Amino acid sequence: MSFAIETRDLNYSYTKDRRSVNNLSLQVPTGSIYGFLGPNGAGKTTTIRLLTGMLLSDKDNVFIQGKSLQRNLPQIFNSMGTLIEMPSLYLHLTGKENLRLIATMRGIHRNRIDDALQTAGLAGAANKKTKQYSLGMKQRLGIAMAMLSDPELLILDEPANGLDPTGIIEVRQLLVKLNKEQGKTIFVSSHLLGEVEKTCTHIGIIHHGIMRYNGTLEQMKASAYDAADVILKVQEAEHWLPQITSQYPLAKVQGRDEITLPATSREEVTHINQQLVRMNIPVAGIQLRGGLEEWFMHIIDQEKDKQIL
Amino acid sequence: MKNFLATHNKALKAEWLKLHHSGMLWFCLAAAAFIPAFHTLVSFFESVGDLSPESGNKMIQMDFQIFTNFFFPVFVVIVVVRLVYMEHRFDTWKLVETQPVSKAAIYFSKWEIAAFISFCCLLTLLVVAFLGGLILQFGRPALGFDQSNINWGHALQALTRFWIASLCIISVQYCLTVLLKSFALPMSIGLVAIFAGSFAQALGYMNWWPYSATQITSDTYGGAPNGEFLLSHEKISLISSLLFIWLGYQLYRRKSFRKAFLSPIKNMVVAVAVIAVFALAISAVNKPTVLNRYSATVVAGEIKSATPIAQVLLLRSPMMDTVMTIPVVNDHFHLKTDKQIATGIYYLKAGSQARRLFMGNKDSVYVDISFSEGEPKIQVSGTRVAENDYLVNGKRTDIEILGQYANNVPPSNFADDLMEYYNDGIRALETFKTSDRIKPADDFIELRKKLFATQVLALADGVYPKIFAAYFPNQELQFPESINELRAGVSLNSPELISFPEYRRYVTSALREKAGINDSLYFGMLNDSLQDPYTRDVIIYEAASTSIVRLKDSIRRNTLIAGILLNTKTGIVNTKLTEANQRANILHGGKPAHDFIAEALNGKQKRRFDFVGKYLVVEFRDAGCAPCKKESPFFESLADRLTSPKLAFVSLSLDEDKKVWQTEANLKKKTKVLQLLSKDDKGRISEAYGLGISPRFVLIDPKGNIINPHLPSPSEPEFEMILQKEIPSQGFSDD
Ligand SMILES: Nc1ncnc2c1ncn2[C@@H]1O[C@H](COP(=O)(O)OP(=O)(O)O)[C@@H](O)[C@H]1O
Ligand SMILES: [Mg+2]
Repeated sequence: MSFAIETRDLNYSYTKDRRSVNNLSLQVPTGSIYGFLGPNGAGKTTTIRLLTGMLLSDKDNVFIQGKSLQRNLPQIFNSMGTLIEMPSLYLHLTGKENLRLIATMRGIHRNRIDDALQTAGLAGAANKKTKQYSLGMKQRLGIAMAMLSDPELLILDEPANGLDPTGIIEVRQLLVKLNKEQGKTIFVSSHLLGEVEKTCTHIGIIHHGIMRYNGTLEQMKASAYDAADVILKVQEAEHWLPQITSQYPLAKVQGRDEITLPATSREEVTHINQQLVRMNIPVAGIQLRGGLEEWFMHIIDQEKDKQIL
Repeated sequence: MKNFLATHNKALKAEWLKLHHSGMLWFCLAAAAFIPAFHTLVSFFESVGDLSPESGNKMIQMDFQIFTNFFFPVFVVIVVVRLVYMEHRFDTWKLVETQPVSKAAIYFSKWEIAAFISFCCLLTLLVVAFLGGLILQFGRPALGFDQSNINWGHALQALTRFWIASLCIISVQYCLTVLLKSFALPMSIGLVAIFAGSFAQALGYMNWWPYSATQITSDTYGGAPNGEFLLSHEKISLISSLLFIWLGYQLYRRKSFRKAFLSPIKNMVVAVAVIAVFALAISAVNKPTVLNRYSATVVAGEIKSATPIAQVLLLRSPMMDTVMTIPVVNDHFHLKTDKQIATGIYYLKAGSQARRLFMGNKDSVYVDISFSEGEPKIQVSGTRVAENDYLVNGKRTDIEILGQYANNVPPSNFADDLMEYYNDGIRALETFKTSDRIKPADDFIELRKKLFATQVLALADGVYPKIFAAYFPNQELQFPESINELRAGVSLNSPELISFPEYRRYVTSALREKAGINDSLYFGMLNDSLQDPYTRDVIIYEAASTSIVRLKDSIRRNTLIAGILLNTKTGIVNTKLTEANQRANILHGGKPAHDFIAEALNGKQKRRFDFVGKYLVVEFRDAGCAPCKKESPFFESLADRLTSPKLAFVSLSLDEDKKVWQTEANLKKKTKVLQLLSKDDKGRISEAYGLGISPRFVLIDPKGNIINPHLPSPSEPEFEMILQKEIPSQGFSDD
């Protein structure tokens, strides 16, 4: 498998006493949407700065499309579009002029600019100074600037920041579309699990600079639901158990009013609910214990414990 | 480097786009246009001076100088800080740095934009100054802009030099702003650096300072005396500019001072090596040169003059004996000689102008004389350019002032002051360089050192004994060690110093101090102490000239001079001394006064002869001479009071400009002083009446003979006393 991004034991410290990125080994398969997940301060932006040469690692250990980053600056940016943290724009210029600037530096024909504005939904505000843009407009322009040259690899740092719900959905759809239709590799960081879960094919979790998890979405879900249970609140649990075991052999009574059965996904809860209603079992409540969020929190907690120890 | 070249144009275009809407270019152009525009406006209300073909050039020069002295460096700092802060502000560095353009291209293209704006500024200034001249040509013809030719070569050279100087400010400020990553801090540091530089320059410290670069160029607007395109401080600016571009770029690409220059050690080694190389280059450029002597003695030059000048004379100071006569052919003169000439002060005389020159054997001196209307310009270049520059521009402090304030200081303090004066002078001498870093030669420095010593010794001899006696009435006079050392270093017998007045004054005052007021003892000592005949004769001549003026008694004076002439052997000394004495004899009481010719305000001619039968008091004056203005009212009030048909008061003006005289004389119509304008040849009347400093008052008797050639000032009571004494009292009708 070829990797669009690969790092080997990447390290970075802003200050002597703490590593913001710690022995990070990252592998982003070509053609994937890679969700880089971690809470605030985890080291996502630092990692992205290292991936884009904004920060230079002491060793030559970042590879983009198989080529050393350090030895291929700045041509490497021909196949790479980035958006790092807040979009940085020239606020005294218009949206169009900001795009023109990128077009100039990337040697792109001007007529691409109007398309980009259209795609970003900024056609109406093209000739307004970006000073007057809302945060969401700035973010969309930033994404448009990253994508202007139609690069093979997109690295986006929290692109959903500052967008309204529709905006978020639009960005999500755009990313999926670019990935599906044009085969772009997209590396996108986020601190929201739900966000990543909905778009990404691959996932990496970073916390306190350490890579905590690395795998496909399916693998992640599998491990997350390994330990998850569906809990049914039913009065006189013993009475109803046989009926339930006929459908779900692994169901167990857990105290006077509770029956548990293992879950494999979030969707399964709905399915179980429908089944129980059909069987006329008087369920007072149904809930999922464990699952993705808890698994995620657990990973982060573990990490926290490690740090404290 | 390959990446830099490949992506430079893209980066530069991007920088250019960023200037849009920033208003920076317009701000700078307006700032540059302001000064010449304002100057043009003000010129409409200016009084008309001399018409000069230099009007246009002068306007350009003045505008450049005003602008580059202060405004220009400030604008440059503002532009650089704004250009860099534009990226700092919303961290757009990360936007440009993730584009396929090299960091060197990003860094350098921003620098280029700043350099471009700086160039536009200067160009705007030049163009607006030129247009201002055109406007004035039609709007105010009296200023003579239509006569003036712009020296474009020089103007463009100045522009280039200012631009190069500004590059250094750009590079340093750029480096600073990249390092500090803020707006206010680098801005304030830049402004403070400009102010500090101005002060230091004004006080004479610091030959070069990046933020004063344009100011130094402004001070040396004329350019290099040797005709080189750039002065050495501009070369230093250029080299430093390159250094700071490199330093700034390291800071920029490594993001912090530590990573750029401290760790890893390799970076530190590289930085130290680069700085060392640049430091060597700067010191090589900065190193003063001493010019070598030439293979023969050459005096050459050119003259631009409306009235033809046939020859140029080289006269030796102080006797003004002609050493060379050089014919002028096609406005050029050139003389090469193997004749030995003594090293010292000479005067180069062309027409009515004479230029003081230091030169000696095997020197090649080129003198550029221009008599275009207005003041004549004389420029000296050649092997003694530094020495002559020092004589004109060298730092000078008035040593006499030390003597004037010496009354109340203890003798040791006075001696310390003297030594401080001496040491300051030596330091300034040894560090003196022309604007293109040429140092005076060692022989000159040796001479100058001795002259400083003679100055100090002359004052010490005159003042120190008095203070010493006042403080220690019962002790024998003892000079401090420092003064004695100085005395050991310079002999009374220093023929090499004879052309310098400091030395002559030192010898005369030293011996006068010993001899007291006894003239024959004094001249005897001069004769005995000085060995070199020429030196001895010249000094005796100077001493005798003072005696001639001082001695009123013609018999005593003639005896003294006759005695002196027995010993002096130098022809020119004997001639001049005899002449001076004869003049004194003519002038002194009882001799007939020269029959002057003059014009009155009504246009009628008047002569001295017309006043025969009356006592005549003549005031010789020049319009605009301050002491004349001070004395006139006293003279006029005296004329008002002492009215007599047998007494006439005359003010004889030697002004060359009739209009000036008329304006002043008209104001005095109502007084009893008759206002006249001399029609005599100025030299002739000056000689006839022994005129020197104006005003002079002469009393003539009714027969036309001089009673007193040198009356005291009318403001002194003695003036009236002499008149009362000399003129029979029945002549006055005192009211
Ligand atoms: N410029 C900086 N100097 C020092 N520490 C920094 C700097 N930027 C980030 N950090 C620290 O590095 C860690 C990772 O930060 P960052 O990569 O921005 O996290 P994320 O993007 O995941 O929120 C944080 O603890 C943060 O405090
Ligand atoms: Mg971040």
